Amino acid sequence: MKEGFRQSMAWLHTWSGLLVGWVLFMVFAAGTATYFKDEITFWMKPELHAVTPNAAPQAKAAEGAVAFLQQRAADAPRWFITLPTEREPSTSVLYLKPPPPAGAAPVERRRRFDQALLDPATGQAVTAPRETRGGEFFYRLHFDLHYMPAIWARWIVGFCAMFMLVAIFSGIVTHRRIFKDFFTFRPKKGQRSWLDAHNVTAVLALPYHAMITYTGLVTLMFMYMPWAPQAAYKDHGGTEAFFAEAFPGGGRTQFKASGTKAPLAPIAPMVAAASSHWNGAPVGRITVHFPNDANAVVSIARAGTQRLSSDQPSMQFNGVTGAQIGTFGDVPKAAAETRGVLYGLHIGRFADPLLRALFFLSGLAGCLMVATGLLLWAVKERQKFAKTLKQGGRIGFGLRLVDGLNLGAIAGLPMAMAAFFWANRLLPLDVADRGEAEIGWFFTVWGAAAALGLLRPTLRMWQAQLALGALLFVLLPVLNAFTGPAPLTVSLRSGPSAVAGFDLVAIALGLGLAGATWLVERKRRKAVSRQPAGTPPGLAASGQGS
Amino acid sequence: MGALLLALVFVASLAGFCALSLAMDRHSEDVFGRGSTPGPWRRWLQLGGTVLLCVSLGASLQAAGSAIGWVLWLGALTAAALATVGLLGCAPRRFHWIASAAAAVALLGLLVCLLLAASGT
Amino acid sequence: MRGKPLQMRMILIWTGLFSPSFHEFPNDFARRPAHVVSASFRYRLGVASRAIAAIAGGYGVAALSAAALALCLPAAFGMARSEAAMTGTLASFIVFALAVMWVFAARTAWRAWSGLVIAAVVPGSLVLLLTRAGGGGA
Repeated sequence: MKEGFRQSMAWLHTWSGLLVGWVLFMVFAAGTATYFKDEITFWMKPELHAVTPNAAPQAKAAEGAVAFLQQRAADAPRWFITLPTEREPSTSVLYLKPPPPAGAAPVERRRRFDQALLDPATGQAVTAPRETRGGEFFYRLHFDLHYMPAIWARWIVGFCAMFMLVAIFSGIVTHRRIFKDFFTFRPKKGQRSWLDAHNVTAVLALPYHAMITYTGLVTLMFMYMPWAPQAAYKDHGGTEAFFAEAFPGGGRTQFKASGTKAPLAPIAPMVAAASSHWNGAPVGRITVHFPNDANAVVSIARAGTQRLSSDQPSMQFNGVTGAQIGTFGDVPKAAAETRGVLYGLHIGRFADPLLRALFFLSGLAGCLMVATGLLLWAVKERQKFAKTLKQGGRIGFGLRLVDGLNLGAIAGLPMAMAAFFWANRLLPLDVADRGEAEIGWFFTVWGAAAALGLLRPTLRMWQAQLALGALLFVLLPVLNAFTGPAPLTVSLRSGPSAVAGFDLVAIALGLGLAGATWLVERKRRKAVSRQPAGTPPGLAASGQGS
Repeated sequence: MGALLLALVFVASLAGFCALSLAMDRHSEDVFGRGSTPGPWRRWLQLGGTVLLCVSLGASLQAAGSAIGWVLWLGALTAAALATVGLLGCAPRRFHWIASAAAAVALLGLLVCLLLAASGT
Repeated sequence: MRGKPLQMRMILIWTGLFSPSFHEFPNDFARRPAHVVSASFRYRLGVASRAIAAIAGGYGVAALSAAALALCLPAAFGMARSEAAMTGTLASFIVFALAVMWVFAARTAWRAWSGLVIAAVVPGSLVLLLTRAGGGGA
């Protein structure tokens, strides 16, 4: 029955991939962009390009941040201080605004925070950059989607991720000649080329695809599968007890304000003590619970670049006396560490620039895998209509829908991303809720592309959208030159490397899209030349397969 | 030493995959023309390719540690495999020269790394 | 389509014309030839049945196996409770994927559902037993 098994897995692979392919393409694209979200955010704040923050020892940076927060937000319930790193050389502070008075309207989650970027040496706020969500938009997009409550989005994305996991497993089972076909790519052979492209992008980055899909589910696993903690802790304190045991030192809810004021102890000795406890490892994030309160607690976590696991050891200090309350996470337990490693693999913060570039490459392969899969289905399906088409008939509704969705998703998304970057530089600085306005451009362009794609899913439309995307991307460095202080000529020599990198990758992506446009042109010419005399031109134009 | 090890990771995995691809009839035909097979070289190419991939793994573990080293190796493998497919498509006639050059560079690099390690650098 | 009788091939070609999007097919259709007009409907019903089994049934099996692991591992190996809960949750997604594959690989829809039920009964009874034991003992 082996043949039956492979056949059924082929069917499963097709449908588990197709039904959610368009969402997955966006998740892969946004997720791949997220590997460089810090750099993207930096590019989108040109006010910061000419400013080089002064490096300072960690203790000094922490002191500066605390001084700033004491001025700005002395009565906030919580402060978050992220000390400078190589990728983000300014100190980043975030604080919870005091909750609105009882009876007032509840504030949306994002608006409950305020943030600022500080110079590590002086503790002063860096020139206020334009309001933009930056790379964080892509990060949130790939699991929180947009324009919907986060919980719904995470269930939708989780559902799609589960489909993807099934598609990966069934794809492996069904790919009979996985080793023989390992390096096979036969261009210009129609359906076979699409299959080869799908196989190459899928198999050659298979460890990555399997890892990223499974670990993606792991990041939200307690939401998707709360049953194990629930069952195990049913009579032992419930899921709260589970989280306290599994993630010691992470609890926020255990701290409560006393109401009496007390000055905050100096932060520098705490930073020094933490760092020396971890054998000189740098400190990452400092959280101050209820600053200037008698029950203040300072929680310090280690910086996360040395190991795979995303769980970092942390230490807690009494906020008034400066005494150590406890150290957590120095000796992680096996399963918790496993989960930490899986989580860490997904967010990839341990990756240095080279490894990050490899992740990015694999992510791009993932986007191509999904895209070629969707297009392969359409090509195969179209062949069943070959006879009908020849006799002047039309393709079925399902195929037409898939054609349109393919166009809108695959050609429209790059255009939308480029439009997001163009909006960042062209929108006036004083637009209300500017960050959301830039995002609005992303979705407007994507929506228009999708609508046009569904209306006229022709080769010409593919060309138009791919070409426009190519143009918008390739011209991004030009846009940067006119709207920012660090054009490519400067940034390549001395300027911020993040800006140079962004500009170069934009050009590369634009060239890639241009290449795709040319491939479509070649196909279009072949389709037109194969047309027998007297056939109405609309038929050939609607043909996308070969 | 660190940069040398990283370069070795990539060159060795590229050479390894090139060797493994030449051990297949299909790609032997791509490079040497229709009907050609690796013949008696098949086992040697397979062995050599595997050895080169192992060298790449070793270099990666040495360069990036025992955990991140595996991740780096798998990423390098992906890049090398994609490059091999690209080379087979774009430069089939010169493929075996490129592969041989990569293998030579890899072995030379390995030798240098071993010497440096032995001399205690 | 080698080895299949001529009638089978005719039925499949007809079905191919009626439901063009379902060209490859799961096994229960291949083994249960039926009258041509209802074949398509019966086929779609089979697919729907399997889809529900896979998604809802698969999730149920995964959830039960997660809970069972969380309860059994401390009892059997003395693993810490939080560790067992973590392990069960991590494993559940693989269980889910395998359950889905089973549902579509099973030769008939009946088999698909029965397999799921069996896969659910084992961890389900473990969970019931251990929760009752834990609750009774505490």
